[in-house]
Amino acid sequence: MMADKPDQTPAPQPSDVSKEFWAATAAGKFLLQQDERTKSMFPPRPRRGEGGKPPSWREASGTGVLVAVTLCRVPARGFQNKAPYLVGIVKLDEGPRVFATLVNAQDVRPGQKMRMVWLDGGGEARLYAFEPAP
Amino acid sequence: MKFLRNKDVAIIACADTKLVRNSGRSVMSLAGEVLGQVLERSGLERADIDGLALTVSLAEAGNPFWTNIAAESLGLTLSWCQLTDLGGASAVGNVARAAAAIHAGLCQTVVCLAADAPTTQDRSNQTGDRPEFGDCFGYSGPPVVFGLLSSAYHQRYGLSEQALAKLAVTQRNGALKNPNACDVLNVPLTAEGYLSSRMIADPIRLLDCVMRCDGANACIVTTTENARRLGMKKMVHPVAYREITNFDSSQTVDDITISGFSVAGPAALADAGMSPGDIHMLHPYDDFLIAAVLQLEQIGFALAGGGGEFILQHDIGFGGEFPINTGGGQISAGQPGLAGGGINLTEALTQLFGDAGERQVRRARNAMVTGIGAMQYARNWGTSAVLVLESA
Repeated sequence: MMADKPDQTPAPQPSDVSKEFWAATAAGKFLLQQDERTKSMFPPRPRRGEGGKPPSWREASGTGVLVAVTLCRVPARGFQNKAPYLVGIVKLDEGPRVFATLVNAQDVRPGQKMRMVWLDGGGEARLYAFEPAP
Repeated sequence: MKFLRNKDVAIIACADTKLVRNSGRSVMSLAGEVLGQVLERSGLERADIDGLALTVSLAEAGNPFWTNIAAESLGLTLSWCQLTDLGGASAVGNVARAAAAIHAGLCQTVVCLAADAPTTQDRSNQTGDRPEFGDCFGYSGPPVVFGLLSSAYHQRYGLSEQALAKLAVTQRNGALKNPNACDVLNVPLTAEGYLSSRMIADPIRLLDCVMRCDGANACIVTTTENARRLGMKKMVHPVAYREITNFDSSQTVDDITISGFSVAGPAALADAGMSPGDIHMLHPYDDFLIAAVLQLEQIGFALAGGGGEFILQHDIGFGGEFPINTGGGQISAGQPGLAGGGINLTEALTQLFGDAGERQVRRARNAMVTGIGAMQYARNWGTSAVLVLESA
């Protein structure tokens, strides 16, 4: 479901696969699901964990390297007031790639070390972004 | 599908409708028009058709009984049906699926038909990663993916704007000779015009992107034996096909620009017994110009990072030594939604049949057509498909 107001960022709608992930964001934790071989996965997937058990989760370090960046001039719904805005793909130190908005990141290029930040607004599911790591 | 090399399967006719923005037409109306055309060109009757391969359309995406409704509307009695949801890879994918069904004896003569009218109506409803992990984070559509891919490519190799400009201008020159191209794109384009088009998702410019429209295309696939029995003077054989969906599922490849074409391209060429230099013309799926550059490299026409240089060093127009997307491609003819892959396919077939009129290429014994389907999370595209065609 999309947000009703054009300037309101749409809220994530957790599924039964992702609810554990989104629940942890409320506490500022970004959880990575561990697959059968204990490899970290993101986004969460309907897969079994180690030994056929339910998947386990571990908190990501929140740091990684910028893989790609673009300046989005045609905004997504809910981003009209933010355009133009930067979005990017960050490869976390644990392996998975994450798509998110970039903040405080003018002139940033692939290869830049990034760290995760939590955006204002809060609520049950919080949204993450990345900024250049010092 | 190594049986394809025996050339026991033949495409005997193709057709496409005029591409129109905001046509106000239904998908079924467009499908009916293009079926009528392709039957007329082949000389077949409706009763001769016993197979139908359709592509999912944006305009009718919510209809759970689409194939049956189509069969009833189009007046076809079928022993084999297929509805393919590989997005832009569906058109070439359906030729392969039709060939497989014919080879397996499920049917003899298949119409592969793609129709969509997304500028009149879009009833698609995407679920999954896109709304949950994309839209909430500012994802506004495929230009974002290709802006990101361009950024990663540029960091690694450097992206040649001049090569993209040449590709844009060359394809537009083809579209100007293509009466079915969208009228709004029927204006000459210069390199300066391309370079000065506004940025959408840097470095993706407006003229790097397809423009959506409404339209339909179709081809008829049957056995070569049947084609001969029918007295067909012209036929085109699909000689190799490879398709990869969700390349690198374990995500071990670091470079996000590497797609399934890196596997499907070389494999299709090997199946056809060809090397890149044997291909007479290329009709790459072109939702974005950069996609064509990446395919040139990953299929094997150019080295990694050398796609731009390849474009700059070759005459890629319909009169040149290595023609690319001679009818304008989707970039300059228009993208009829999820029927868009059929634009590249129909143009290749039209050239191989020798029916391309003013834009007819000189060497048209074979062609490669590709398809791209769907966008993936924080990578590239979901399906990479490669079809090699040879005229009889």
